[in-house]
Amino acid sequence: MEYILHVLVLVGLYVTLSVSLEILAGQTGLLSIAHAAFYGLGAYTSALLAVRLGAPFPLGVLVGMGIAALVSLVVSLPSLRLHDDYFVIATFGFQIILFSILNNWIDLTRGPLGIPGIPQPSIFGWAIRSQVGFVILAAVLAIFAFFVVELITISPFGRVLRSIREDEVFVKAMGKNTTWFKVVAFAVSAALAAAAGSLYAHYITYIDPTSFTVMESILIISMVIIGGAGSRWGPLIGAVVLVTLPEALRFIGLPSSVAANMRQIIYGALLVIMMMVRPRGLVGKYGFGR
Amino acid sequence: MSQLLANSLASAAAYTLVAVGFGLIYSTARFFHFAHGAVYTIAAYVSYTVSVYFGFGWWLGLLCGMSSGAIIGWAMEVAIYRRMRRGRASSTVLFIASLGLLVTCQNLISLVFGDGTLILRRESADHVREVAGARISEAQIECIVVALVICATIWVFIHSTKWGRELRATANDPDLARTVGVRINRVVVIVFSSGSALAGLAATMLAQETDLHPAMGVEVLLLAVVGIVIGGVGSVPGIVLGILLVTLLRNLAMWQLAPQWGDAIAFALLIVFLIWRPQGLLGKPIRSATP
Repeated sequence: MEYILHVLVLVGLYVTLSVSLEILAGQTGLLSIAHAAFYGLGAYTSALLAVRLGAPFPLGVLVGMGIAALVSLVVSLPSLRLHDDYFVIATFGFQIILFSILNNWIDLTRGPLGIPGIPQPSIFGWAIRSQVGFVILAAVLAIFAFFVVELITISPFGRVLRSIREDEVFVKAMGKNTTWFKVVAFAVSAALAAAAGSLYAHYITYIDPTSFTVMESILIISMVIIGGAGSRWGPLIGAVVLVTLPEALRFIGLPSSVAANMRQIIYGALLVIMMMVRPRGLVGKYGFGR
Repeated sequence: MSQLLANSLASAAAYTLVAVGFGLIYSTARFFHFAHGAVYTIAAYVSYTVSVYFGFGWWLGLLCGMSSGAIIGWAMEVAIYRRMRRGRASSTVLFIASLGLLVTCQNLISLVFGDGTLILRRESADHVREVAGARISEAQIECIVVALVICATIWVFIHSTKWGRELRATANDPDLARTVGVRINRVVVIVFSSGSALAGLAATMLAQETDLHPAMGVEVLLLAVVGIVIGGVGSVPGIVLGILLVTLLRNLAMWQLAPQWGDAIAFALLIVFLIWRPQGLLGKPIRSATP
C-alpha cells in the first residue's frame, strides 16, 4: 500500500511537470529540453532555503518559482529568436549549463554530494508526515498546475500561443508582440516545474544533481509527446502511463537494475514508435509541424 | 601549454570525425540525428567485444566497430527516418525520434554490458614520444593523422567528384536536386552509413583513452554539436575549426578554472554563437527540413 501511495506521489509530480511543459511545447510549439533544469532549480532553492535558513515550505516554493521564472528569462530571451532546430539545441545547452552549475558550485549546492536532511513540509501548521499527506499535497499541486494550464488554454492568451505555434509571422502581422507571449509562457512553465521540484525535495528529503539531468528532461518531454501535445489531457495521460507502466514491470520480477534500463527502453521505443506513427501522441492535437 | 595543445589535438581529432558525420547528416537529411551518439557507443562496445572479450585483437575490433557503426546508421535511416520522411515528418519530429533511439540504444547497452566502465587498450598506445615539449602517445599521433587524412579526403570528395556535387545539391535544395535527377534517398543513406562508420572509427580510437561506459556517446555528441554550430554546419573545414576551438577552450577552462567547468564553458560558447552567429564561422545560413 505504501508503495502504491509512493507511485501516486510520483504521478502527481510528473503530471505537474508534463502539464507545465505542455504550455511551452504543446500550446506554443516550443520544444524545450531544459525543463529538468527548472525542476532542479526549484528543488535546490527550496532545499537550500529550508536547510540553511530554516525557511518554511510555502516560502521555499514561492521563492523557487520566482527564481525559476527569472532564470527562464536568461534562457528564453536569447533562445527565442532562433529557428526551430536551433532553439532546441539552445535549450539543450542551457540544460547542460544549469546542471553543471548545480553539480559544480560546491560551495552552494554541495555538488554531487547533494543536500540531505531536507525537512518535511509544514503548511501553516499542517505538518505533512504520512504518505497519504504527501499524496494529497502532490494531488493539490497537480490539480493546481492543470488548472493553470486549463486557464491559459481557454483564454485569449492561449489562443495567441496556439496561433504562434501555427504561424508566427501571421501573428506578428496582426500586431502582437510574439516574443512577449513566448517569454511569459516560458516563465509560467518554468515556475510550475520549480514548484514540483520543491515538493520533490521535501518529499524525498534528499536531492542531488543526478535527478535533474538531460535524461530527465527527455523523460518529461516524452510524457508530453506520447500523451499528446496540444491537448489538456495529453500530458496527463502521458505522465500517468510513463510513470505507472515501468512500475508495473517490478511485479514481473525483474531485478531492479534491469528494470531501470527496461523503463528507459520503453520510453525510448514508445517515442520512436509514436513519431513514426502518430506524432501528435495518443490524444494530442499538435504534431510538431508534421 | 604545449601539453594542453597536444592533448586537445588528439581528442579534437576523434571528435571531428564524429562531428563531420553528424554535420553531413544534418546538411543532407536536415535534422539533428542525436542517435549518432548511440551509434558511437554501440561501435565502441562492439570493438570491445571483438578485441577484448573474444580476444581477436585491436585491429579486427576496429574493423568491426566501424562496420557495426555503418550498419546501425544505415538501419536507422532505412528502417526509421526514411519512412518518416516519406510521411513528411518535420525536422522536429525526426529529432524527437532520434532522441528516442538514443535513449533506447544507450539503455540496451547498459542492459547487456552493465553500467560500469570497461577498458580497451592496446600496446602501441603506451609508447610515448616527446614533440615540442609535450608528451604524446603513438595512438594519439595516429588519431590526429587519420582524422586529418579523412577530413581532407572528404573535403576533396565533396568538392571535386560527381557524387560530391550530388551531396552539395541535396544539402542546398533537395527538391531542386530531385528535379535534376539526384537520388536523394541514395545520397542520404550513403551519408548515414559513412558518417556512422566514421563515428565507429572515432569511438574505437578514443576508447583507448577514455574507456567505455554507456553514456559515452552523449558526451561526445554534445561536444560535436557545439563544434558544428560554432564552426558552421555545412562546411567540413568549418566543422574542423569549430571542434578545435571548442576542445581547446574546454581543456583550457578545465586546466585554468577547474576540471568540472569544462562542459559549462563549452556550452556557454555554444549559446554565444547561437545568438551572435548561428550559421557558425564558416557556414551558410540555416534552413529547415520543411519549407
